[in-house]
Parts: sequence; C-alpha cells; structure tokens
Amino acid sequence: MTLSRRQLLKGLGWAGAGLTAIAGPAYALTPWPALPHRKAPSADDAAAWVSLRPDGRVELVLPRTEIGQGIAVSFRQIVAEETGFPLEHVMAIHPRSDRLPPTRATVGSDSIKDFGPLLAQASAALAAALKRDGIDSAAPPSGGWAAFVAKPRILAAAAINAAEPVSFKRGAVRRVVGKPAAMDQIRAIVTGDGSLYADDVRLPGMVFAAALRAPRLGATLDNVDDTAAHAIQGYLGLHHIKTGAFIAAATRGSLERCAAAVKAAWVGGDIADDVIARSIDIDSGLSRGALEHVIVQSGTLTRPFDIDLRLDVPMAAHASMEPRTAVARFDEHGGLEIWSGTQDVTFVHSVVAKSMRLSSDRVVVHGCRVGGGFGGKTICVQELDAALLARVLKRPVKIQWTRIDEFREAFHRPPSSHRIKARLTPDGGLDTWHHAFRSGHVIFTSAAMGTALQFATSFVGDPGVSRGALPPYVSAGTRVEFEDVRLPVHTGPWRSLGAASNIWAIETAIDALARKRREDGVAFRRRLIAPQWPRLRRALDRVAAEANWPALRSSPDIGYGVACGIYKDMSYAGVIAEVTRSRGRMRVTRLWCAHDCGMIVNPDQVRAQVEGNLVWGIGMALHEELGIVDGHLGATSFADYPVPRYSDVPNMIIDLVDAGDASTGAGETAIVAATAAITNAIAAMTGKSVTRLPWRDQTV
Amino acid sequence: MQVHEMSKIKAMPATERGSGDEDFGAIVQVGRRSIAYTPSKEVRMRFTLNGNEADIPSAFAEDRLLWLLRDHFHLNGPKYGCGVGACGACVVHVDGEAQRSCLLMAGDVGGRRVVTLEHLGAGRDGGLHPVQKAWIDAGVPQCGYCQNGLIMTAAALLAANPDATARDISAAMDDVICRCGTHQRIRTAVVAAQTSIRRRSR
Ligand code: FES
Ligand code: FES
Repeated sequence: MTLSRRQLLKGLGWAGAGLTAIAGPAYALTPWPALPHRKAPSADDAAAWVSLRPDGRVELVLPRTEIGQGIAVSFRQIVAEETGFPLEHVMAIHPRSDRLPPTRATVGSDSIKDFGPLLAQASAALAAALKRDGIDSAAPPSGGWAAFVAKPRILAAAAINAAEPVSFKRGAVRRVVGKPAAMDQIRAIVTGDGSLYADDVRLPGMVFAAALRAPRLGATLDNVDDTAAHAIQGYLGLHHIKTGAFIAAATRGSLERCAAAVKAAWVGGDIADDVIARSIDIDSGLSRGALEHVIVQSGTLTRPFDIDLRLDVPMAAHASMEPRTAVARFDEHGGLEIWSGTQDVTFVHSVVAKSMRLSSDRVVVHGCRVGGGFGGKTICVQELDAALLARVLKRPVKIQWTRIDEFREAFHRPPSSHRIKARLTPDGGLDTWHHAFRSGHVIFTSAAMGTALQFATSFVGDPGVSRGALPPYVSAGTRVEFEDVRLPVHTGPWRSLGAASNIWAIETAIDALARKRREDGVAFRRRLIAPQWPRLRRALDRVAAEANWPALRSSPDIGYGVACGIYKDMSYAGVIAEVTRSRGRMRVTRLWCAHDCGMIVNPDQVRAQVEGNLVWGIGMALHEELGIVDGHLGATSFADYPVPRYSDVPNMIIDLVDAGDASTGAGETAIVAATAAITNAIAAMTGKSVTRLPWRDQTV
Repeated sequence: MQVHEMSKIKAMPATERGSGDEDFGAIVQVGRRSIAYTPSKEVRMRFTLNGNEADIPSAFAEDRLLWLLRDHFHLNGPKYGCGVGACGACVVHVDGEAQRSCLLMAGDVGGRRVVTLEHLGAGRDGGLHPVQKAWIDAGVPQCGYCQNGLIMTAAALLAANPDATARDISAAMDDVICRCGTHQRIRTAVVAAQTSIRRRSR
C-alpha cells in the first residue's frame, strides 16, 4: 500500500516542481544526518503545499503543524484570499513526510512570518495559472475538475516567485485575510466526532507498549523479573531494544496490570536534591570571574550600584494536556508508517529512517493534531520506540506516555539564576547595566544531542538560553554575560525559550530602578526605551491608555504592575496587571495587554495566543515550579504540578496593534511581559521586588 | 452490538476521505465499533452507551472505563490526560453526572447509563448541545485536547443546576485543566450556554 513519493506526485495533478526535484535520488537515497532541518522554506518547497483536487477544491498540505495556534485556518485564509476559492473549498491536511519536502520544526512563532508570504505567492501563482485557462472557482472547467486535474501541470518556482499576492500587501483590500475565522476542526473537537490526535489512531491488531522507567534520576536497569506478568492475559513480553526496556501487551488495561507485576531492579542514581540550585547558582559562577559568553560589552560599568538583585527562575514543565503518543506499523513490504502529534515531522522522519536503516522513502510520518506542544514535542522519542517495537512485535504498536512520564522523562524549561546590577545617572538615565545569568541548556540540549555533539557545541553560547537577554533600554555602560550549564536533567525549549525568564529578570530590575527613583513605571520605561524600538514604546503607551494607568493606585491590598518586552526582535507586548491580596494569596484580578505582531491574518487566533501567553505568565509568576525531590523530578500529575486553573484567570483586555507592519508571530510574545507585570504588581503592594519565581509569601 | 471481523476493517488514508472538519486528520479511520483485541467469550455485563444497549466484554471489565470507551468502542471524546483524576480530560456522564472515566472500572458501569461527548448533542438542533454550540460561537478550543472535560463538566453542571452561580461554575471548572489557557473563553461560553438553557426551559 506504500506509494513512492514519485507515484504520489504523479497523482497530484498540480505537482510542484520543487517537490519533484526533491523526490529524486537526493532525498530518497542519501541518508542525511539526523539533525533538525533548519533551512527557511523556498519557492520550490511552496510548490508542494497547494494543489487542486479532482473535486475542484484546493488542497493545502500544511507545512506547519496545528498545535492549537490556528495555523490551519490562517493558512487556508491566505489560500482562499489569493485563489478566490471560498474558504470552505480550501482544505488543509496535516504535515506528512511523503507530501512535503523537508520542513523545519513548528517552533519559534514564525509560521506566518516565514511561511505565510510564500504560501500567498504559491496560491497566487496557482490562481494565475488557472486564470490563463479561464478557470476559477466560479467558472469550473467545462469538462469538469477531475478531467482537468488529471492532466498534470507544473507549478514552477519561477511562477511562484513572479506572483503578486495581496495577503500581505500593505493597504490592499482583502476579503478573507485579516478577518476572524473559526479554528479548523473545531466541530470535531467539541463533538468528539473525528480522529484528530495520535491516540485516535487505531489499527487492526495494534498492541500497546510502555518503557520501564527508572525510579531515580540517573539510575540504570540492573535486572527485570517478569514471571508474574506471564500469568496476565494479554502480556506480550519484555523487549530490550536500542532505546530501552519495554513491556508490551494486547490492551492498555493488561499493559497496566503487567507493568505493576514486573519487578525491575535499578542501580545508581544518587542525585542530590539541591544539585540544580548549586549548578546554576549565579553568585558562585561570578565568584570565579567572567562568565563564558559575553553577549554585549559596551561603555564602562560604574559603581556603586543603585540596585543589585539576585533573581531565580525554577525549572518548569510544558505539561501539555496530550501526553506524547505515537503509533507505528510496518506494511507487508517492510514500509513503515508513523503517526504522531509532533512539532517536527521532518525530524521524526529522518531520525526514524536513519535509526531503523530504512531508506527515507520507506518511512512515512503522519503529523497529527498536537494536543499542546509549547516547544516540548520537537524531538523524536516515542516515535522511534514505537517503530522499533513494531518491528520486533511484527504488529502495529501504540505508545502513550503516562502523565508521570511527561513530568519525569520529558525535557523541561531550564532553571536559571540571574544577577542584575544597575546604576542610574543623576538625571535618571541608565548609567550601568550588568546582567549575568546561568541556565541549563535550551537548544544544545542533552534531550536532543548525543555526547559528541554536546561537546562540539560546548564552546558556543546556547542561543536559546540567551534569547531576550539584551535589554531594550539605553545605558551608558552595558554588560550582559551568561553561562549554559549541563544539568543532570533534560532541559530544552519551552514557550519563548530563555526570553520569558530573561525578560522577567530585566523587567523586575527596571521596575526596581523606577521605584528607587519614585518614578512612574511607564514613564521611566518610555524615557529609557532605545530609539530603535518605537513599536515597544507604542505597545507600552497603548496598554497604559487601555488600562487608564495614571488612575491606578496601588495599596497594600491591591497592586498594579507594568512590564513590556520584545520577542525575537519582531513582536512587541506591553502588559499591565492588577493583583489582589486575599487571605495570604495573591490573585491576578485583571490583565491588560497591547500586542503588536504586525499585520494580522486572523485576529481571533492571535487573540487566543495572547490569552494563552497571559495565562502562562500567571503560571510562571504564581504557580509553576519543578524541582528534584528524593532523587527524581518532583511532580507526578496536575495535583502536584499546579498550572493556572479557571478561577486563576481574570478578565483579560487585549488590544491588538496592527499598523500594517510586516507580519511576525504571536505564539510566544505576551508571556515575556506578563510574568513581570504580575510580580511588579506584587512589588507595588509590598515595596519589595519579587526575586524568586513563583511568588511565595515570604512572611509565612 | 455490531461486530466487525478484523480483516474487514479497512484502513483508509485521510487523503481519500471527505473534506472540511471531519476529514482534516491524517488519521486512519476504522469502524466506530469493532471487536476488542481479545474477543469476549462470556458477556458479563450490559450498560447503556450513548443511548444504545452495549456489552462490557469480560476482557475489559477490570480495565479503566476510559480504555473500554476508547479502545473497545473507539470513542474519541474522552481523553487520557493523567489517569489519576487530576485533569478532567476523560470526563463522561454516568447517569447524568460528570465522572472521570480514568477512575472508574468498566465493570462499575454495568446497568448504568454512560454518555460521552459524541452523544451529548444527540437529537438537538444541528446535533449540538447548547454548551457545544456556545463553545463554537466563543471559539474556545486551542489545541482542543482538554475540551471534552470542560464541555462535559459544564453540561452536567448546567443540567443539574441551570441557575448555577459564578461561584458554582468556578468550583466545577477549576477541576478541569486547560494548559493552552482558554479560560476566558470558557467563561464566555458557559455563560452563553446557561442563558440559552434557561431560555429553553422557560
Ligand atoms: S485522565 Fe482522568 S482525570 Fe485526568
Ligand atoms: S485547548 Fe489545549 S489544553 Fe485546553
């Protein structure tokens, strides 16, 4: 049943020249190293995204995964805008490795920015080609769509480059782009009627597997006694494969019973609970002199400092609601299919093909809807486990992580420890800004790299750790330095990478300086924002106006805080928080946000992203902390890893700024300002900076 | 119940399926109901599932209700989120009450009436319960994985108490986790659903 890429392309009708080229030997036969694909998409790639179907609809193979950010509908809007086809006649299918050229992971909030304009080009080229034949959705071909599509035509890269789309053109009149439209699959989500996620994939004869998990960090398996499991109906044995020891069973119920019956003995693993705090401690790092990586050093640093703050951010979990899940099956000819809710279909495809020694055209990865990613579903783990077991068991295999696995076996946001020292000029400018921090890894992580690569990258600063560390404020003397530290736990990308932590630290320090001067937090920031960031100043002004900031007065029981930030030099947010003290707790009771990600394709989906980011800011400020307890990661469920709940989330007033600037991204922006706005509101109540996340009542 | 031979269950690639919402997933569709992996030799119990009489095969009796629903009846509404009652992703209605199907054994629902998200809107306008309709109108879902629990919890609450106060709503919805942060829209949707349910009951 496996079709080769070439066969598939022949059947497509409008096959992209780019994909045809890629489907040739270079793609099919050369085993490339299993590294994430990082290249930006090209016109050749875009040719593979849109095609005409025999039923007269446009099919869009999503080059980006739907994670709940609304990318499917937003991309469909772009296609509908350019082709003139009604939105309902543009259908999206999830990323599939046999339908897409290698595509980089759905990370970094850059789908609209880096893929949107190209998709508009390709769609406009498709429309132009149809128009030449006098055809559009209102005037179907006389012989019918099926006959028309049966004759393959090539959508060439040159035509794509030459097209003149309107979706992102400043001032253009648009019918579909820029308007709200409902999230794809929304009906299936609210009715349960549809197969959306990897766990909804059920194959005949499919069995289930689970890894034996170490009870302590760093422990290794010594021996396993599965005698008792053999007496359990459905037990399919213990399997040592490349990636670990697994048990398999016919049903999930029997798998759970077998897991409880298997006795595994583990050795080693005696990690002290305070190892993380010690490893990243900024002060012991600074006591040994300069940190390894200096991002900026300019002017002179002058003492004494007006503030000298030690700021600490704990490890945090993605805690996506959908646990990592994969299904793998071999067909009778040895071809392998994988279903997974992954943020990186290309990477999963390349890792599996390489590790299984299968030529890449023998492996098809079907990307499913992702039930929450946040940077966590970017590596290949359960997919490879499932594939290896499907080979051993000669049946389709489903692996679904348990919630405990999610906390203990996944990678997490690294903890970080910061010191910020700053000095004011006599007239209230910044004279000296010195920010030093240590953190676990984000990009060069042990979760994704073997020891050799970890070593190879150990001389380069991890760009994920340093994201957002450059302050947007003018200072006579500035030094920003950091160190990325290997930790005994897996860390990696989490919503906004290092930016949420770094900007929280910066905005906490800036607020402390404003308080020191008894100057208004908005006015102080406005004065200091560097001239190259007018959009940040505008976001700050807009949120201040929206919240009527000058009228907000903090007291010991209610506080108002402000913060602002830039994400990846492209998107801007200003946030104001109202926090109320009630019975020893701090509750966020109102949030305002002005958000600027340039021109908006779908305001409803952007708004949803801003809401999500603000909620994550509440979590960072007041709830989330993952640590080591008794030698293992100390969370097992939502009962002991608190995330914001319904009544933790206040009314959020969101102002979307769209002044026609180029479209950027919304998935990770507001969080960079939200956390500090909340903790600054607490500081406004208490007069003391919150220096450790999450906030805890120090007086108790 | 209808029993399919395993050999007759046809796997169909998503690209060959219909369009729009229902076929978006690149997922293999198999029969809504099929035989369990271990065909039951002896039928132990019956219950009502989504309006129909159904058997609980003995092989599943000691399993979580969630596995019976997902793996035997191939229902996609209830989801696994934590397995310990701490997230709500698995909520179903048992005799009209919101229950966590990860905490119940399949055998516990013998003789009882189980309704999943799939059946919530049965017999209503457009096949949607007022809560589901409000959910679509408010554009609540992001990733969508948690939404079963939110919708089933809200529907059970409003059925039991159409005049639920904001405090009642908080108490119920606080027990369902949504990591994407759809809370503000949940509030909008629950209030809209409540208004529509009250109007109808008048
Ligand atoms: S899966 Fe049942 S409550 Fe989480
Ligand atoms: S919509 Fe993703 S967890 Fe709620």
